[in-house]
Amino acid sequence: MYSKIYSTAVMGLDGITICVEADVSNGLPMFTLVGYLSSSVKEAGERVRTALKNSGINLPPKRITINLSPADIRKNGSYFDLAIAIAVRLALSGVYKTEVNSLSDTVIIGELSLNGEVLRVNGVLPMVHHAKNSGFKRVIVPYTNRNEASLIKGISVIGVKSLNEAWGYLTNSLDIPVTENDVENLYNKEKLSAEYDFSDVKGQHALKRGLEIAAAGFHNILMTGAAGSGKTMMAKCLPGIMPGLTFEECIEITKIYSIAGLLTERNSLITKRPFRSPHHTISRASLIGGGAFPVPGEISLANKAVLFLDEFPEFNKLAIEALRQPMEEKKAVISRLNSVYTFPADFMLVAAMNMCPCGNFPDRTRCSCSEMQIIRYQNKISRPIMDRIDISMEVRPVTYENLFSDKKEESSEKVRERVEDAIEIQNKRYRYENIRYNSQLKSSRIKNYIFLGEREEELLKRYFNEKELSARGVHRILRLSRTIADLGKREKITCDDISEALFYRNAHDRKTWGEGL
Amino acid sequence: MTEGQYYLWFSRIKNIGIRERKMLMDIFGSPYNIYHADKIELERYLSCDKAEAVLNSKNPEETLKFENMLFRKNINYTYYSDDSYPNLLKEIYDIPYVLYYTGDIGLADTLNTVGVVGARIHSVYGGEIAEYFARCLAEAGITVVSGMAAGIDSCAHRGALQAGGKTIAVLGSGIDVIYPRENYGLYNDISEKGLVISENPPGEKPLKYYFPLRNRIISGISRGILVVEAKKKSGSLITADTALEQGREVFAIPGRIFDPLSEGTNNLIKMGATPVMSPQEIIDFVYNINNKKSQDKCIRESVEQDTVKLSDDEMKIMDSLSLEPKYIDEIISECKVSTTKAINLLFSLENKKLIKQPVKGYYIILL
Repeated sequence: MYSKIYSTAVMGLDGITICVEADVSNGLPMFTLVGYLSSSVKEAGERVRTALKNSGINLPPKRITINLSPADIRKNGSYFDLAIAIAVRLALSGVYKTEVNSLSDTVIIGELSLNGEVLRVNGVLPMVHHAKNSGFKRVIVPYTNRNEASLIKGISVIGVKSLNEAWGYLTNSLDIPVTENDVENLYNKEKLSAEYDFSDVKGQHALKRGLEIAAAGFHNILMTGAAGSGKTMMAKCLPGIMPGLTFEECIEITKIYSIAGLLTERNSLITKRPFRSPHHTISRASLIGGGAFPVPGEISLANKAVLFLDEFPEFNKLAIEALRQPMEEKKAVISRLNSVYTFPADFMLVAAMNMCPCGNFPDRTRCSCSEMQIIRYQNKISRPIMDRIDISMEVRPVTYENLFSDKKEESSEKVRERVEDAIEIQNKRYRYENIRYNSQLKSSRIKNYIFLGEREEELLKRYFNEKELSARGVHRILRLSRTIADLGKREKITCDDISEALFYRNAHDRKTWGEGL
Repeated sequence: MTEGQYYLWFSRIKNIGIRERKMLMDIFGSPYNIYHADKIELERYLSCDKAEAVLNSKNPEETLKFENMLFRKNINYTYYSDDSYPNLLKEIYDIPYVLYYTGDIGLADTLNTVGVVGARIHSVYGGEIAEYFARCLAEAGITVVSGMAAGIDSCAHRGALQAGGKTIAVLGSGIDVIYPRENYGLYNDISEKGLVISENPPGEKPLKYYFPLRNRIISGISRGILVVEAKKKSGSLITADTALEQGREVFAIPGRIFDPLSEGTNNLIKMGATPVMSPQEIIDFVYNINNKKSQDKCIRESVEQDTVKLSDDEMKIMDSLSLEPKYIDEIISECKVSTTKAINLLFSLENKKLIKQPVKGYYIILL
């Protein structure tokens, strides 16, 4: 007997339909799987046979062949188990077409355990999304994945706990209700999160303002300063001053988290802006994404959010340099022999570094690093990377007076209101461009959107000649000034905006870093 | 061979130390006599192998070639009995018999020379002070001598050049070896507008033990030595020691007692060095020795604020700043202005060249 079941697989961020066929015929007893399978799929054979046995099905001594098509795509992962088991059982029982719920518009996803239980798999959200788009009406998923799957509207989601449950549902002997998910409610749950609030941080006025500008224009920012000056804490405040995610953004982020296996049964929709801070021993592949079957890296997990790289120069040089393209393109492109995988990577880079190997520079009474050591340490960050970071700010440890002062500090909420307004202005300005923030404005389009008055032009020109700025440097100053003006809801950029931009700009030459204090 | 060539030969004999060289010169009077002394005579004063070394080193062709190489590289040299040899240097015990130089050798002989030295690793305050003192000294017509090392030395040279004055760099490496490399521009400026000297022949690497030797020349050609900032164990203290041996005046900038960067200078003062608080004191000293009247024109009283018009807010910020670097947050909370406002005010003051940022976010006033 022959049977045919649909399942899906994930390729990068997209799903593809996989057709699972099973055939039972006379011959030497065999259980063969074909269709360009990786070893994790080949092992499914053993799992399925045992699971079937433990679910009460005795496999007859016949020749059983399973084919996963299209046969030219390499298949990986454990999500075909359930589909294979159903296909085999169907082929054995011969109930095809007549008694079984319409199989041609059903997709089956799930891993099997040896006792016939259906286990949780990764990447369900993009797979269900694909199933819906390809016209399927029903999807059978592991019970623990049902919340995640039901985020997609327009397709009925059936969560099953075991192989027998799935079979019972398909043969109409068991009724399983369609999982309904109150997406609205989920989305409205809790959108803002930050480990720290701005009001928790005493002092650091200049840095706070720098972070505010960074959040408003989605500018990358570099914090330098001695160890223990509060760089990490300030970075952790950032998600709190960024506006809440839109529903589309939530889905986009959740998809990536689904593939990465970072969703839990309870937390099926990511509504808070993530804050990713990988350790500096991270490899290039896990930062950018990679693997034989590419999975998203940290930069994709930080999509629409903050990627915080603490101890920036300690990162592998190759890993840092690999950030160049994703920072420009806002996506990570990973090429493999048979296809190209693309993951979104629209992240805001927040880097923190010491100025010297001992971490005490510029306090020269405590830092005894030689000039050469300091230069070598700072040169670990290449120019092209520095060129992509708009804001840099020197951080100093908070003083005792500030630490215990009773002065009320502005809360993150207040700052966020200003940031939200500034973002709205930008969205309106760039509605005909394919961008949202000032920082994304291409150099060639600057003249269409950023205008300077006579006095402002004069100021910039003088500075240009004095500090020997590059064209790229000027463009960065213009973008920054635009963000600062947007924060102040000013239509025209003023001299004050430019001088503030000049203060915060990331001038990465030794001259501005100076010789120490 | 010319007299200069004899000196070149004499100064380049290997295996002979400073002390032996000095002894030979005292006994024989000139390199010519040493060159023509025979083995028996030499062995009376030197051990056998050293006498052998002197005899074996005689190679007129090689000396001539070396001299030609100097000319080709535009490097001059002067020697003990030469007219252009600095007179001040003849007073010291371990005289460098040959000096290689580029620039105007006359500068070393003006008797208006003061050495300004200090640590490589220094504070912003120290750097600014070195630059300020060098500038004032140069404006008063005094030549600033230093070692062109990183840190205070470079600041001193830069200050003198800024004032359009004269400065002498004494190198511890070969005369054409720039160390540290960052000072390439400074080296060119000094050899153009001042004088660069070294007792080491061209191509010599900056070896550790050359630097204490170099220090004796710095103090040797100076009337006095100003130590700006020095840790407990610093090369500049060696300069101060040699200065004392040579009978030069030692000045030191007093520092705070717990400041590790000033420990050396404070110790100097404890041991009898003259603490200075104004460049005028050094200028007076130099002019006194030379029996000249000092010109009194050079010292500006702190910042000339009356020449530039400042707003009230700007004045408030100026008042909160000093030579001690202050972080922007402190300025903000001290002056009680908003962050944006403070940034704008600081920017305009910086534009007026009244303040500067030694490190991003930190501000000091300019002297």
